[in-house]
Amino acid sequence: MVRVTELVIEATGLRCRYGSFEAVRGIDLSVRRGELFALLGTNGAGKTTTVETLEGHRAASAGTVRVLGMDPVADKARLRPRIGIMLQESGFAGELTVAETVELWASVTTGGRRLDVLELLDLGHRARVMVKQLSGGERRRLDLALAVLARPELLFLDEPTTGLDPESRRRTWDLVRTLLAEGTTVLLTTHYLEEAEELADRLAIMHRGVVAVEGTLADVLATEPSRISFALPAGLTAAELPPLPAVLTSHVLDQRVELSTADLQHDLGVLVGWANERGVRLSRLRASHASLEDVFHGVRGAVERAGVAG
Amino acid sequence: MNAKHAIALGRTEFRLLWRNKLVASIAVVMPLLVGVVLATNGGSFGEQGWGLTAAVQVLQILLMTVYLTITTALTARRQDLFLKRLRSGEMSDATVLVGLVGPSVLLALVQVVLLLGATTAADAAPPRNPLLVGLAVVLGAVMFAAAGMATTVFTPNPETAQITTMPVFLGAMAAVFLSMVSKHETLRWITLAVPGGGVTELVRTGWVGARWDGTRVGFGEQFASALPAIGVSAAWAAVAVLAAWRWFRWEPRR
Repeated sequence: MVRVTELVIEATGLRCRYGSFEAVRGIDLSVRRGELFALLGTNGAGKTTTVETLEGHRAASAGTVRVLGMDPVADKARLRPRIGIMLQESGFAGELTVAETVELWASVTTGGRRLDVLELLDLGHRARVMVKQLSGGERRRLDLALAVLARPELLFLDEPTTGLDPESRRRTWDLVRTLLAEGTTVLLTTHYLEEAEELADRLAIMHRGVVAVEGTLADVLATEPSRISFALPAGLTAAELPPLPAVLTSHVLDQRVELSTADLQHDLGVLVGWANERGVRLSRLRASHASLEDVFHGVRGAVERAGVAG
Repeated sequence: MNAKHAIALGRTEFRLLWRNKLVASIAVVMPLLVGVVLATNGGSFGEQGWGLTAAVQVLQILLMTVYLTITTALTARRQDLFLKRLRSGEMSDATVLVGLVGPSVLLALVQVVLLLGATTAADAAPPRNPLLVGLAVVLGAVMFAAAGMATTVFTPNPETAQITTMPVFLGAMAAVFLSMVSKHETLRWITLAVPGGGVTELVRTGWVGARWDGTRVGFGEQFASALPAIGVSAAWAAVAVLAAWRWFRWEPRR
């Protein structure tokens, strides 16, 4: 199968500066048509600044940005009808009803087939309620409703599920999956790592204005070693353990052994085989691939160490 | 600018003005109440009285329906992050502003027509020079709409709009009352220099067909004598537009 890898978003050497503070310090991003690209990072990593620059809310201070082949600031009038934006923070007029808000947005949005967004996001029964009476989660869903109303070709979601209960979050994910299946490209920022694990085709982790890791979930997880840990059997010392060829680091603390390995399957096999042969039990044995959370913390640690060294 | 989008937004803005009791009273109830009282008492200002009545009508509408309303409403929309939302859609900044400011200006024009109509009926005489009156209304509407936008810059929330609009509001009212009592040349220039003073003189000249000191003059000379007032009003309108353009903020300060 030939994969068409048309780039919907292309940023090179992107920098964004607020006065003397540089929030984004030279990043490259490429988002392919039809995929969901997740941008992760700590607070202040530069995610929202990056997204708002791609949306055309602010101009880049350096670098080139292309969204659907256009300059988001200069070509705003031609670009905006093709994209949907859910800002991290924005509001409504409190004295309009939910239905009036959607109606207003529909009348200032061109574009073809409308989604029945209120039903999709379980807001139908709230249609006649004033926006100021909605709960935080309902407002967030209304935000999403407006962003997807006209089935945009490219959708920006800046922390779409912050403050949502699990049921609303699942509903949001379902809607995003539906749009992805219809061919929408999505750029998502989130605090929730499981959200990225659940939805993202590719992801990037930003820290202090730069992209630290980027790739598919498998690529990104492969950047951190796997872990094995167990309690050292009574009467044994760490020196008596068998040699494990792929082990990168090992620690023994209070009779508990922690290893990191580049080849989990092989090293675990050797370890368990050795224990069976010796007739000892490895109690509290745990073995796992790195999680996105491990990668995330690894990134913070690495950048901070580099910062100290530099 | 996309006219269809601006009209759609303007309809919603009308609805919002109407639903907020404070804004509705500033934009609709007060100007009409004051206007009716004035229209039925115009003769009490003496020989030039009806001209002054018309000038006060126009000024109070521009101040309340345009200036105060726009400052209050835009500050509220900014505080609600509604402006930020509108900017995340397809509309250009110009379309959003026309949609938000247009309803107040339109409402003011309707009120001017209604109340000047009532004044005409009470006076039993139409304005001598409607062109000058119309020019005064247009210049004044631009000036006070832009001034309203500029005033949001130092208005942190809609409640404080009552205070931040005071300097311009009182200045313009003072100009109206000065022009009522004064026949002194120096005072006339001071009055003209205050925002709204030029508009006052234009309406008065247009209504009674007389120079600022009350001397009746011909149609052409009415324009000539109104030139300083036109110039000053246009200059204030330009200053207000530039200030709004330069300093208007779409998001609240953090």
